[in-house]
Amino acid sequence: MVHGEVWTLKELFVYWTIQIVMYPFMTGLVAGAFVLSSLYHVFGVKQLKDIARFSLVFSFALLPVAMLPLMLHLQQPQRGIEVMLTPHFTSAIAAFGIVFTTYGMIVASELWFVYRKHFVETALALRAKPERTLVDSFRHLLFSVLTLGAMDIGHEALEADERAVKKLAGAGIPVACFLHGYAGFIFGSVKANALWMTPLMPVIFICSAVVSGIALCILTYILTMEIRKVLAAKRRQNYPELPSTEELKSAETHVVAMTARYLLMFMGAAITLELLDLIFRGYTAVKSWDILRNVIYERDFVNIFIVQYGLGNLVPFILFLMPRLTIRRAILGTALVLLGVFMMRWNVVIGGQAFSSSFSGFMHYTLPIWPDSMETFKEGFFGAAMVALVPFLLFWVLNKVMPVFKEMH
Amino acid sequence: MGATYQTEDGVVLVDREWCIGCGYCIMGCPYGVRFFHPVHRVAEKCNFCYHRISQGMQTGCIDACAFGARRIGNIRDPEDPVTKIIMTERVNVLKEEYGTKPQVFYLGLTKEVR
Repeated sequence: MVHGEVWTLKELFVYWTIQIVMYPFMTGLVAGAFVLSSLYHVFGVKQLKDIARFSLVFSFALLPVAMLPLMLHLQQPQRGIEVMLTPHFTSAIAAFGIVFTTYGMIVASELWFVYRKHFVETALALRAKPERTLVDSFRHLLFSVLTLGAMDIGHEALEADERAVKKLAGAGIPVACFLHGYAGFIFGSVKANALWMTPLMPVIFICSAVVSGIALCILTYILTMEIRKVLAAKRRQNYPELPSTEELKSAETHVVAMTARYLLMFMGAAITLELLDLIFRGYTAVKSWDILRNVIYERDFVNIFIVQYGLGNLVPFILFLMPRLTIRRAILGTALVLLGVFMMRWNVVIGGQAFSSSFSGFMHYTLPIWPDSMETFKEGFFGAAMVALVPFLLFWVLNKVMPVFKEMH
Repeated sequence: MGATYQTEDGVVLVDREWCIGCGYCIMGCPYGVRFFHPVHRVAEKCNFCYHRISQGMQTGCIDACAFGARRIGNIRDPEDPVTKIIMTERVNVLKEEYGTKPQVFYLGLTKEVR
């Protein structure tokens, strides 16, 4: 059976499906989370201190997942690693290796400088322990390796660390934008596709990436804070120095309200660019506009105007602009923003393949839900759900090594 | 990935050992002629029967065409009968605005063909 036959009804196939929707969605979250953490590290937005470390670790947890959908989509996944190992300077696909590796190294080294003190302290504490269990020995080995032998945690050394973090975070912003701009470039440079081909595509992708990254960080931050509140209430009996539920709650509301302001700012930029692109296409009305208009205003009307712009942009915009932002409203707002950005990716990827390249007909795509083969699993609902869940799992593991809330017992 | 390459005699081929099967070239082809090979699971296109023409034979489609509507020749050779047709008669190519420098010429092509 030819690839694409399962989910396409006509003889022309939709080759890029749900995993290619997931790919820009996930890289967008990576880049967005990183930009959020850089707002504190580079621009010194003090109010974002709490969420900065959180989003940096989360961005790292999301990073391998940017690659996962591509691996699930490749027809020769065993050759996927070649992208990383064989640099090629005229192939857009091969550029992924360069962009991804550069970004990965920057985040990893920034994290190392942020957590070096913690690594050293933990390693020293474990070393001082008279009797070590097997788990302790493993942790001792892990943390000793993580220190890379740099055991100095004196005042000057830590200040040098901070300076390094600032520099890396600064360098990381353009690289994070490149990581996601690259995803936009991949679409924007397909000259054969009338919907994708625009130099605005990378910029649009970057703005919506930052929006989705901030939204996910707020949402996950709220969820972890809720868990912390429950845990804190239980543990305060033994550790009275722990913050009380009320303290945590007010800290949470403050951070969420502050971060939401930046979310609104980037949302404004993203919507402006997307609408600009649409108006430009409508006004210039080149040859392809006839079929694009049909796709945008008729076939995909609900997906674009109701779900993406309405539910995903307008409603959260109002929710966040209304005074006295509550946690519940923030949860609803950020979840809708994520839905909106996801739908934007969907409308670009699937919508871009909805018409033939000779502008003479349409193709229809249905997402395989229940898998009946490896292919319908990988490129179906469950494959996409797996991609969406993995970062949370990784975050949980990373949090064991690099605790985002250090004062937690 | 650079799996697509051009042979010295001008034919564009896909390296089946190198292609990772991402489908980017299939998306990028303005003619919609690229597809995934159902057996090798890599991108595929018309290879002008390279295994035949490099042995001095005609392509399969030329041999199969009952009316002689298809022909292949060496455009670098001004004496080649196909080159002469291209040089002297009214021929056209498809979608030249995409800058792909197509080497498939059609006699009497009308703009209705897209």
